[in-house]
Amino acid sequence: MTRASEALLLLLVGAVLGPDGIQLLSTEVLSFIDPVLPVALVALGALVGLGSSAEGRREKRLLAAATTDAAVTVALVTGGMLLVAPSWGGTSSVPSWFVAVMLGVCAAPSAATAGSPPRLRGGVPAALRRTGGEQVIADRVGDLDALLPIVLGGIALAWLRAPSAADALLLALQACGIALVIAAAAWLLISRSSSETEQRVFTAALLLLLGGAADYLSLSALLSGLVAGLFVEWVGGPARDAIGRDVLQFQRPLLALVLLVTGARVDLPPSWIGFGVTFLLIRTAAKLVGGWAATRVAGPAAPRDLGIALLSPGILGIAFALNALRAAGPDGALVLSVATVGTIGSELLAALVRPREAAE
Amino acid sequence: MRRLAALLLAVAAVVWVRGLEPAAPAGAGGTALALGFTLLAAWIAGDVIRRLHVPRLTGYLLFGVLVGPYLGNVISEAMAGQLQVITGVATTLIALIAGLSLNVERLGRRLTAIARMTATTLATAMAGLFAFAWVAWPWLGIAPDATGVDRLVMATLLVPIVVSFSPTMTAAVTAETGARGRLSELVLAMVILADLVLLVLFSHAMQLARTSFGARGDEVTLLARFAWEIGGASAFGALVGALFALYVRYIGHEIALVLIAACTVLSQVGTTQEFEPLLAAVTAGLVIENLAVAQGDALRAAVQRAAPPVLLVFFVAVGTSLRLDALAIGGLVALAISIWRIAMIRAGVSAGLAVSGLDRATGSYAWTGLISQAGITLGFASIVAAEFPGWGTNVQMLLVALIAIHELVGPVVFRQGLARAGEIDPHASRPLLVVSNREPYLHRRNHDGRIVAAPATGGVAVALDALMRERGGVWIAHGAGPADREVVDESDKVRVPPDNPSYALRRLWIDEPTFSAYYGGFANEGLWPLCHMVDIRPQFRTEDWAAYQAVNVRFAAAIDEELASSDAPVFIQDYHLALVAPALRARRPDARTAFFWHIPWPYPDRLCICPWRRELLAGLLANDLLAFQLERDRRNFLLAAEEELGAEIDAEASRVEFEGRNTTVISVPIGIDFDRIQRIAVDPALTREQERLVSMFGLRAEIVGLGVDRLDYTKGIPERLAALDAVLTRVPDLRGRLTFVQIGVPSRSELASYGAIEAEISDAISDLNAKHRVEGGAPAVVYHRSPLGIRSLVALYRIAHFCIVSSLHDGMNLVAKEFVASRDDEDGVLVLSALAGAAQELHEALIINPYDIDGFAGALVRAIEMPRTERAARMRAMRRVVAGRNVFGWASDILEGLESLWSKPLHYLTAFPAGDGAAVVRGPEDAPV
Repeated sequence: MTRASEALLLLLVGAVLGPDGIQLLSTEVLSFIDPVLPVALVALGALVGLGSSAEGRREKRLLAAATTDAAVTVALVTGGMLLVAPSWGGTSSVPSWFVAVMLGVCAAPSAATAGSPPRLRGGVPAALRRTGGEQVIADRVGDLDALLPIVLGGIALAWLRAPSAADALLLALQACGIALVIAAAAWLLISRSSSETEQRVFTAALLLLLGGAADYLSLSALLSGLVAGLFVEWVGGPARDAIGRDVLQFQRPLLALVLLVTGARVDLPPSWIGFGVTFLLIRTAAKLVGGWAATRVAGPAAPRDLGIALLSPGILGIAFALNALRAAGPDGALVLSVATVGTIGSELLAALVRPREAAE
Repeated sequence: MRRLAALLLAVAAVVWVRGLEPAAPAGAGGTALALGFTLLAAWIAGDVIRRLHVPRLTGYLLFGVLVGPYLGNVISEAMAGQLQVITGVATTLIALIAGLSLNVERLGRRLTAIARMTATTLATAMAGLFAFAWVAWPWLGIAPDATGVDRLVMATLLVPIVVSFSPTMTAAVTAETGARGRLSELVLAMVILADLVLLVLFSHAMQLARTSFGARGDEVTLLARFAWEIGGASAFGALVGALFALYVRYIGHEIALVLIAACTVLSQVGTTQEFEPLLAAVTAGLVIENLAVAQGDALRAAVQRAAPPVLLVFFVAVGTSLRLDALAIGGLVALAISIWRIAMIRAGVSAGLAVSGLDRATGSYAWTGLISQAGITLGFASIVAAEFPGWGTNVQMLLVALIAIHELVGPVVFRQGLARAGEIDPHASRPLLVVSNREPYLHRRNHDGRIVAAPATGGVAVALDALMRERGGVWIAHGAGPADREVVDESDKVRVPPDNPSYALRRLWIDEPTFSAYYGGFANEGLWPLCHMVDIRPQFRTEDWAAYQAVNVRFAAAIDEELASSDAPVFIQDYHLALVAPALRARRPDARTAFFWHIPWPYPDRLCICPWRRELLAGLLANDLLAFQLERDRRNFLLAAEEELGAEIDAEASRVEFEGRNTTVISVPIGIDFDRIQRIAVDPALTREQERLVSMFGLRAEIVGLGVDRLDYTKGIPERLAALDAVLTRVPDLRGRLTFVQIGVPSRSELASYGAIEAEISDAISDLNAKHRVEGGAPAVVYHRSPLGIRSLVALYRIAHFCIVSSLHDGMNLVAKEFVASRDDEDGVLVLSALAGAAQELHEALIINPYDIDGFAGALVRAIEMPRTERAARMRAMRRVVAGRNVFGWASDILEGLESLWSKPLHYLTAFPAGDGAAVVRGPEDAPV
């Protein structure tokens, strides 16, 4: 079973267990789980940060390519969704620009991000049979294209609760400052600890503090995690290895929880499914254009079909939507539903168009 | 200082967050924030307390009291309430851990005795407390004016509540301290049994009180409710436990996650259906422990991962909930009752031991585990307060004060009891003496002239190093590093590991020609070929034997010096040191020694080749515990001991009696550090290492095979190359498309037999590459003769389509297990020799006979052509086996076995049934190269 199908299965299980299903995950149980969600998002953000070190010319080039891909995707999807915005109307108190930007952000990341850590599946054949390590390049671009959306999403969430753009920027910077202070505290503790149990407890505390702080302020937990991850990656040393190891261990159960909760929380009136399909189409087009632009930046070693390789969205898109839901309250439900439909559709599409060799 | 700085930073972050306006009422965010801060600060508080020689959990409790709503109010009443919700899951996890420690097979023989002991303890404690209540009634503050029947009824109701215990706290203390043994089992069984009895007694006493005071209610309903709570909980717990055991056995992924989910289900459904969640969780744990025995290590690892933060939050939550206000009001009376209660429980335990016949050495500390009180006591008190609003409320206040005392005192006293019973050490220090020929760290100078310590990379060395880090002590080994002498002190010791010195490495200097005669001669030209079924003639020379004896005596003398007045257990490694125990015994008759023989043990006829076989056998029988890899080796040893020495064999107890001494002989399979390899395998950065290796080896073939070995004639490398030759001849289409990577690290090259095999392998590879060369295609074999670190090995394992282990005879071969552990993608095929011990565990590998080249080649073709689904199914099955038995479990099983020879049963004897399928291991010689 592939990771994509695991994610789809968990979403379905969540929907079955949720308030609209057999109600094992009732509204009360979901509210009980709520404090865990920002922690899961922090773990995802931290993993993106931990895998974002771009040393050397080749890596910097790939970072530029990934940022290009993300920027193009965010811009095209945001623009596209703004065009169809008048038709969703509704009673939402959330401004339509916010919904469009968040959907743009949800559309940008690709599968080889934290949701499915990059690795060589099945040894050499899948990864290196294509000359020049094309798959490796595609994976790396997929790793790095989450950075820009996380930053943009963080600023958008800050803007939602700040009176002006300057205040939003200041608020986002303060959130980053808080994340840095917490990460520094954890680094001080973990770098001198030799006990794995102790390191695990401190890493759990780090995630809880970051998630709790972001949730308390209704700001982006992904951004907090990213900042902490980048800090830890920057200082390096044994603490980096210990935090990376423990965040990875926490990440899988947390990820499963995120998908279950998403499945349980998704509300799907027909009109929203329509928006989901529209989102899927715009995202696909945007990814193909973004991939083409990224190929230009990445150089000749990049696969020509980079856009197709980046079609699979992983679960970061859903994570962004959950982030919006936590920050904007029930009014963010539209973003979650559309992003979920888009993610499922994109996964299926990616599975259909993926070259047979890569699938193996 | 760093911890203080970190704490200040965390406080600063929390203050900063709270200084910014929350966008909305910050309930959930506040909870996560409080939880994070609690974890961090309480852990540091526990650490500070531990340095003052006070148990860590006391630190958690005191931290909870200090920051809780009744003192510091940093955690407000509302936040404490939210913490209590989270501790609902924690409580079920703790109860589940308690159930996991109850092995029916072990307990079964003692269950009747435990029941007698529980009944006697309860009867004594209740009688004593009733007498106290009757005499001191006017001062208890419940109903001072009550006399006659009224006082009798009230006292009858009060007594079972005051006596009641706390299974949760008992389980939490044993889980937090990692205690394992008869006392923890006994106390846990006692508190569960006692609380079941007290539930029934309380229901009868309530009915009596209702009748006397004219309150409503009926006993049948109350009993029916209790029956539902207990019966329903047991049935539901058994169902959840059975499902979980099946999951662990047949799926085995994400055990920690499923464990937490099971606890959540138990907690939630228990609450909604009015089951007793605690009992349900204990039952679930009991069912899992007794149904999923073979998966024990994977389960224990999951519990160890999930438990520490959960336990910490639990203890802090208990601290925050302690009603210090109640203590202020009725503190003195509660204190008097508490002292009397503890005295009566202690008297009851003494009487119980006399009646039950249980072991006094550990049982006499059982009273320490019966002090704590919590949820059940509070539940009883609430029922009384609700039904009898006047005096019942006074009862409740008194009990709340009692709980506050017992929650603070109980865990600390119980921990002391466990420590005195030898089930934990109060200061986490149980020094150990490890003895091996090879040292865990070699010092050498690097290119810029600085001295650096290179850690050994073998699985066994890594496991023992981890054990020594935890327990401290001394590791005695031959100093072989070029800069070893430059870093030791005047007693030839150096503290290791360099980054966090935790134990002493004592180096023994063995000069030439003694070393060559002892190590190269007797050990590797004599014993090694003697024990491996290969066509190399063992060489036994008198001068080598003399050197071997002399070096073993020197090791024994060093152990004697290091032991001094301590009774630390001694763990001796492998065939180089078979005569250490008798030499040590001559100096220290009371020393406790365990010996692990990593390589195969020959059958008796072959052993006859060795002129000094009787001395070797007698030497090994001077140990208290002797462990082999396989049941086959153990059996061969027992036969030899009987035939050569005429030793008495007690097959059932697995004991040998020789010259008035008893030696327990067992087979304990060794594993690998599965979690460590797993962590490396899932690290995203491993991709870069794979790219580096692909580039370094020039790998461009679409099919890659792999072999990782020390260059040794037992590894079957020429046979492997012959099989590859046959494959490329039979399927010429594979030429240029298939590359086999052979990592072969030279060892013992000074010995003629090893020099010859190295030359043979080099020649065979050259011939193979020349014969199957394709213009522009990939080479048939890439040969790398330098050692690789574990990270690079994992990267290579994940690149390979198939991995070959073709030993002609091998104790275990851990390369096979490492390959499997690395493949969390469930891909890759293992081609494994039937003559390697690992073949007895890894049935889903393609098993080959390395002497049958055609069959071997056929298996390789099958490995290359195997469909993805079959590869995944086979790898999944093998991963379950490898994950279920790690190297830490192996080490701790042997040491626990040694430490418990005098007081406890050997757990692994029941956990791992004897039989050739038991398992096998690789010795230090098989360490990854």
